Amino acid sequence: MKSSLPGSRFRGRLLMVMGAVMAGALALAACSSSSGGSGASAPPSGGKVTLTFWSWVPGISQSVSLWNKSHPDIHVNLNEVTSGNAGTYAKMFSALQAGNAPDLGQIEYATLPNFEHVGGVLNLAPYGVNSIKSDFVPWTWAQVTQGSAVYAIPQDTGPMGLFYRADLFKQYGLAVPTTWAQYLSDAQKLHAAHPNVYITAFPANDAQWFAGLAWQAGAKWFSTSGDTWVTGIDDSPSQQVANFWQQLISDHLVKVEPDFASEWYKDLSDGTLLTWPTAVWGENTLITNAASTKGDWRVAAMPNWGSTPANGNWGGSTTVVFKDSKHPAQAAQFAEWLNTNPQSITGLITKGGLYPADLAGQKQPAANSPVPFYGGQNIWQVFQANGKLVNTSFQWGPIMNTTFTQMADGFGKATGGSETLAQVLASTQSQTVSTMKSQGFSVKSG
Amino acid sequence: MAAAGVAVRTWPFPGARASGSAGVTKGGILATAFMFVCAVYFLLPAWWLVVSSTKGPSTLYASEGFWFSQLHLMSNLTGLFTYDDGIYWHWLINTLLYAGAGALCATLLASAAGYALAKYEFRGRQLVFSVILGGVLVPGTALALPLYLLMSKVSLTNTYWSVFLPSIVSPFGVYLARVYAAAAIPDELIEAGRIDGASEGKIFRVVALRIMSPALVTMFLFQFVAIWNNFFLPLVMLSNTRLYPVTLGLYTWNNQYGQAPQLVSYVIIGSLISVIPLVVAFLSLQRFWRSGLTAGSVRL
Amino acid sequence: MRPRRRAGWAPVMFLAPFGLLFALFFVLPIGYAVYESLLKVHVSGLGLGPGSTRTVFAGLANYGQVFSDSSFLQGVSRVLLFAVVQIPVMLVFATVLALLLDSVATRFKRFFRLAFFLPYGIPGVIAAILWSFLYLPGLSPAVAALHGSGFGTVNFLGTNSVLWSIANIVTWEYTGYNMLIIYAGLQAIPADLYEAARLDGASEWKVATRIKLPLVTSSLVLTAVFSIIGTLQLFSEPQVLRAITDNISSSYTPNLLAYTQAFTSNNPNYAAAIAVVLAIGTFILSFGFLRLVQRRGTAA
Repeated sequence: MKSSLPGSRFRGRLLMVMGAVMAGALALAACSSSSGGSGASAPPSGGKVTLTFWSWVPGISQSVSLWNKSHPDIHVNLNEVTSGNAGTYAKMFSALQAGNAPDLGQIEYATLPNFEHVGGVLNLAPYGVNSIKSDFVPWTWAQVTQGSAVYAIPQDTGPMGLFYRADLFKQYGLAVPTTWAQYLSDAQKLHAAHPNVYITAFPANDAQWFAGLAWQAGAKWFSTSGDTWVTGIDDSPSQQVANFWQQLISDHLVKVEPDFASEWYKDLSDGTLLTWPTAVWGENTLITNAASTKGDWRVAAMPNWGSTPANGNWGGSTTVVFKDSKHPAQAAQFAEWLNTNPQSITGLITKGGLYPADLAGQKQPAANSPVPFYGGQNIWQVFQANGKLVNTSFQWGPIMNTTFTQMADGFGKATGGSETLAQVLASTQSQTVSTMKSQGFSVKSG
Repeated sequence: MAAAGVAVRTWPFPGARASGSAGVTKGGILATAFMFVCAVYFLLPAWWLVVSSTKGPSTLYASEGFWFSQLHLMSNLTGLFTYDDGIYWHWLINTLLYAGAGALCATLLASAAGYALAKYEFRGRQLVFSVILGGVLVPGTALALPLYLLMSKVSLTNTYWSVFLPSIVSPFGVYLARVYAAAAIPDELIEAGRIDGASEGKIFRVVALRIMSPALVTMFLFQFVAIWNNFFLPLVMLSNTRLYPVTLGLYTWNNQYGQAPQLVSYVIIGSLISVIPLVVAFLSLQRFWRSGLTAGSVRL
Repeated sequence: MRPRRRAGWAPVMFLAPFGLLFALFFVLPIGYAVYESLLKVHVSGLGLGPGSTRTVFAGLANYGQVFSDSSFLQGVSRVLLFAVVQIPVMLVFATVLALLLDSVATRFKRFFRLAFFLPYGIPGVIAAILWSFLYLPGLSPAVAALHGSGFGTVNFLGTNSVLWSIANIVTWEYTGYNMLIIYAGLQAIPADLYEAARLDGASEWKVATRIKLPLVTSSLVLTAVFSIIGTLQLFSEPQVLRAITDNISSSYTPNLLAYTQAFTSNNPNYAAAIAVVLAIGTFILSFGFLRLVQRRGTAA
């Protein structure tokens, strides 16, 4: 029953290789665990403090290097992560559960209450941040405070506008819409003549985009009355928006596909999509991913519902200090500097494509000059003017992640034809209320 | 558990059956033609992968999918290995660590356990084996989440250990080892060793491991592929991109095209390079793989 | 002949390393998952800011929620539908290929063996990324080719078709592997059985169905059990495809739901309950299948 193998050689070699590999594995593991990966900061040696910062703003490393040069005793390590909704929020939550979250992180306004709810972010008021309150756009400060506690420093805002292909609009003989009714008739005219070209895409997966549109229409999804949450995801402004887009979907006037995906980038580049209602930071997305269309796009104000112009906000982030930070004072200092220092803000604008929440920052030349990609149009003027029209009383709920997930799942089903967007709003409303109740919140529909 | 009736006679006799004369019959031509069509189905995506790896991001979308266009192979390769401070190298090395070292350890541990279960009588032997066999039937992904919660309590998440340690437990390896050891290692050999004064450990090393080598290779390959394929565990455990295995790394890039459009090409050529070690491992260890599989398929 | 029982600690030494790790990484997580699933987070006031939540004992409340959660039940029925269709199709395909490979009529056997097995060497996540490129209407040469040959624009990512597109990926990946297991079983059948049948004048078809198939039942059972376990845990392929289509919700499969609940919705307790239910369900189904087959095997 002999094997034909040179067994002893095999066995000996096996054990040797095993031993070497195990030693290697142990050494590597020891190295990684002592450096702690992206864990909390190292203890100060001779006064030097190291902070870790998670952000996905393109080019924010420039601002971070600037800080590191001018503040040798507080060193910030930047981790360039993928965007929050693409997985970084999940990582932040799990790091908080595990107790090894970074010192600082980027969190959008909509998700901030979620982090407040799990007790993951520090109150920065004890570190004197209230002194810079007047530097910022008022509604952004309102969204980072709860009573007397301040949980984040606002970084940028996302007032919405309409990016459109000026060249194709001319070619197809369409007028730039100023109302949603005009937008609809443009869409119908376009589809009748060119069935393979669409006015825009409907990203069923992007509930936050939809939230921005509902915000513009005057929706009030969450508010508080004492210790009770009042939820109104299916209020009449939201339903108005839902019914509008439902018509576009049912009449095949929009292309149903996920945004920020390869196919969508391709459609933006080759003229399949003519417009993109989006926030100001979308200008960087087009530059990066639709480079071949340089000079073709322009920006106009968002179409309006009625005669009174209004606007919504999509996205915009803040900088927070997480609860596990061992150097909260220094972290708060960095967060303040990052979002108020003029050179830092210039970098955020030019490299990151952000529109600052800092009022002085909004006046910088970088945010007030013509942009070559948009044919030399000073796109910032559109957003500055329309930023003032953003409804300031919109509030986010404590479990927005869950609400967004429920809405996106529902929209996905709706675009398949089994229900309407308005029905999805209603079911999301009841699901959110029941989820909040089962978690012990005091909540009522409103 | 009842034997399926094909008992000990299934031991690998290389070339036990001659293939017979390959006569050219009508049935033969049809069968071969059908097999060719199936081969096209299985090979086409791999072919697409090879062709697309040579294309840059712009030509990828613009050119004929199944054939070459402008060759960007060198720029793709350099881009792949330099992006983000050469993180792809880290991913490849991590994967070799997790899968290679992991499978080695798993094989050693499982073969020892299987040998003990096969060759020693002790109280509770059948119970232990049944519990371990139960482990084969438990889904790994259902374990990953509670494992994550456990590891976070001892601050082990986001380290090499968090992926490595769970990977070296292979209940199926124990099953394979036990079956093979029970049938292939004659008790006389063990007795002879004992009479000669060898310790149990020495008998295991000198006698058992040698005889079990085809099964060892099978166990190694099986666990190697299982760890290489395991996506959920590292996804849940790791957030430091430097610790990622190559599958998780490519998945992350796949979601980041908006930030860097050139990642499309890197994902494709990165995928190609990452499957080469696996294919090489299979081809070179084919002989043992097949005979070991025969052993494993016998009794259930 | 029984080996003489020696000092009882030898088997313990062999079993201990594996046993310890098995207890830590298989048994303990299940126990911990059960523990976590009995807890809940309770909110006071608005629920914002530190100290507004605490964890309380909730008994079986989470399990009640699991079984009344429509997205969980839909995910389960979806996965069961997937299993009932995809597993038999794949196994029939694998068996046919194995039989053809084993028959005297086919040529180029080594090439076919390698070609069919190649997809198994590609990790699931990479395979899903590959196929996601092949499914995208604007980019895929396959879609373009089908369009060109008169099939119209095939939508692989539609509401109803995306499930079968995922089934295609899984079938493509694992058919070759299953085929090899069955083929190994076929190779082990002694040649004299065939000779006798052929001398009696039996055709290839009869030989295949009357002799070969019954004797590879054990291999088929092995592949079926692994396929069942794998299918019920479906995660990687839908998760990767989520990036390119809106038709895969966050609760498409039970595993996806557990992952979303744990990491996006911050409900580790609810996620633990889902994981426990999934583990028990998988265990019951695979164990039940095994018992069913064995009972039929011994009765026959």
